[in-house]
Amino acid sequence: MVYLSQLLNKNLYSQGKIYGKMVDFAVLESSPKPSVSKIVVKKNGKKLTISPSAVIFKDNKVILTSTKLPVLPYDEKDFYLNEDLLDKQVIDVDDKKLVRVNDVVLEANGELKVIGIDIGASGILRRLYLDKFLRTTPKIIPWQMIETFDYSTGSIKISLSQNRLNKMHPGELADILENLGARERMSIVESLEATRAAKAIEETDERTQGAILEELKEGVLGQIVAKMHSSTIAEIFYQVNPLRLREILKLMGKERAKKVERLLDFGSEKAGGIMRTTFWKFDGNLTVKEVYNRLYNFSPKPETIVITNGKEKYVGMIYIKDLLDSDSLSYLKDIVTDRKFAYPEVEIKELITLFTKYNLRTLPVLDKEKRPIGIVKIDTILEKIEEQTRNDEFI
Amino acid sequence: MMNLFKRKLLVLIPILAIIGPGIIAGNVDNDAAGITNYSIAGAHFGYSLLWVLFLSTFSLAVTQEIGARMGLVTGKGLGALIREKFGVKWTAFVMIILFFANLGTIAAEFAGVAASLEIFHIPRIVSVPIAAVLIYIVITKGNFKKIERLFLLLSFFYIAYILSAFNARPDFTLALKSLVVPHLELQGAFLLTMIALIGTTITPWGQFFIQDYVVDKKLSKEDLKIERGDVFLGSFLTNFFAFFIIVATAATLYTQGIRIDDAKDAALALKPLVGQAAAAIFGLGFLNASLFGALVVPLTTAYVITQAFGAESGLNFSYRQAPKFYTLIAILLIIGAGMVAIPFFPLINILVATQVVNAILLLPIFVFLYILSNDKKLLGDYANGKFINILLIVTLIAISIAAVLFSVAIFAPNILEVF
Repeated sequence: MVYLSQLLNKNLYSQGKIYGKMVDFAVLESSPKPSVSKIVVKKNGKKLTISPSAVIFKDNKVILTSTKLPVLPYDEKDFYLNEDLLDKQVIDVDDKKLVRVNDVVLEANGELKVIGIDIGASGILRRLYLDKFLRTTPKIIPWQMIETFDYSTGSIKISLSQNRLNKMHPGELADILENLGARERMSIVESLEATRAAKAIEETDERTQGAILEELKEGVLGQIVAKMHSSTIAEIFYQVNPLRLREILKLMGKERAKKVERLLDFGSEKAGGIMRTTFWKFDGNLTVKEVYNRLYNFSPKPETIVITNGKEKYVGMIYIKDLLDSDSLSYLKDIVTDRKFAYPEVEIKELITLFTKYNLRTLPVLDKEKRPIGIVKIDTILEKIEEQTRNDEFI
Repeated sequence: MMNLFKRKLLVLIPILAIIGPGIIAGNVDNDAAGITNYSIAGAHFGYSLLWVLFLSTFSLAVTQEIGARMGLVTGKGLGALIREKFGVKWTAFVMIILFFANLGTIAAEFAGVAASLEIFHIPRIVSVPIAAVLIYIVITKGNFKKIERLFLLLSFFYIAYILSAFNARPDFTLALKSLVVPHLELQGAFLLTMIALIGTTITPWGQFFIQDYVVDKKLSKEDLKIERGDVFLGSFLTNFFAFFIIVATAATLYTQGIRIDDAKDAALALKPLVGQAAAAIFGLGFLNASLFGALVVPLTTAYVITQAFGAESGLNFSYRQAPKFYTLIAILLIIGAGMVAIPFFPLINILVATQVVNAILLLPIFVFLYILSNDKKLLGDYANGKFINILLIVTLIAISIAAVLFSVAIFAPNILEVF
């Protein structure tokens, strides 16, 4: 095992004389244990690349075996360990967080291969030549467990499988998005599948949401906005640049843009401002079986169904788990789980009390005529509680 | 839909959401050391240093704009950019100096707290430890957003300086003339005050502060125009208030030939000249500035250092999640406050040394700033234009000359007598 920091700036010898200095190593990214494909040597102030097969590691010295070097092209598209990886941030897929590369761990069994990165203090100490005085165990993450960025283009280097990020929980992705640099953030969002991306964006704080929506490329923006809730757009309404906002509203279509406007009228600290406007409602005169049939083709199934009478007025709500327990011939209006509701003007504080007191998961919001216009979900309530307790302004 | 758009334009909240970092960064610049130096500059040299203030406004605006722009475009703090571009060794070098420079700055802030409360007859052995504990509690338990607003609101105390300045019936024609006509004296005290004036206006930690603040606010390229306005306004306001502090002390203390050591002396000396109330407000403004500085500088320092080395940092982490961050804040507060609270500690020497270290640290930071802000790979179309580069280089040269002159004045004063 050898560290990149121990190889960098090391002299390369040829026939007993110094030939040049090794300043970087290119790797072929597309393998689980990428091997070094090129060694960048600095000779008389010029950079040239040589094949690793032309050098041998012997007695702590690196020796050039042949003077007739095959000239390799210096390709910017290559992934360089010093230039593109060392000191940069990468995603630790296992722990699902951002880490900084303090050193790179290589294996030198005939061939030079990258096996992992060191993210511990040991890496920093080693590079400052302090490792002899202060000993710490290296914190090594295997190469397969990280996702790297291409810093020259800002795009994500999807080395192994693109779907690794897609498999992460939106909340975990959101944490990463909040802490990334602007370009890297965009590349992750663009690499995700639209539904995933929309969910992850919704989980980030409002400022990050604003930043992402302001910078997304138009094509991707349309796809992602289509998957986002109107309430999210309403929440960040005043954060986004006006011109960009107009574009977003256009992409949303007239109907959803109107929803956003309605949500805004209620204000973000009230039930009307935080409710979801897409929800399932059924006439209470339907039987459980009929509801089953109507839901059959939809996935994922809603958690809650709002029940109305024949005149669109609110009767109650039922959780899907209670629906499953019910006799398939009974009418919806007879098996409601709860009849509670709130008007749009109700303050969040009161909502929090209601949710905790009655162990609610969902609370329908009604207009003056008692027609359901939205639902508040426990997720939103939890978010609001977190926002109130969190102390997240600067630093 | 059109309705929505109109509403958006009418409310103008987006501007309010973006505005702030520049003004706050500028405001924090007028900290204890700042107010002390402005008072001394006015009291000892009258209007003759105003031109330095005038020129430093442009330098401040340019460097703050670069910081804000880099933050907006990359979404990364200055520490992170230095780490990614220049590697661990340079980062460690900058961070170690930054640590000591900021430690000195924190001591200066606590010295400010001590001095301003001594006006109200509270001894420093009491006031300083209490202030340190309070600040730690505010940082760990408080709501930073609210505290920040409170301090901003209190900074309207500075209007007292404007009032006192007018009260003192200064020679405004001379003051305005001195803004644009340079005047240089090759003697230690003058050079010391001059470099201190530059050093408290453009600070290394201020450079980190503005960029991190913009990053934390998640402003994006789209906000650049507004943010520029914010930064320019902030730089202008900073020195606008500084101008009146200098004018106020110049018109009163300088004309009477009163010498002062710090802002407390200034407040006390002002009492018979501008009235009890004005002097008290002067003192309160000084206390506010010192407390805000003592809160922000440790926070920024801990944030920058932990970020640069990849440890967890930020107020939304708990102590258990980010132990290094909170420990660092505690260490900075204890040592910083300790230097002031301990009697007979050679505080003045530390404060002078801090200004020197700050000025010297500015040089490598400016070089990093220059390289980074010209990096097309990093900033693309947002890299520096020619005009900004020229201003940056001129500032760099000016600070270098000032630093050299100052060092000569301190270590080999005889050389200057030749001139």
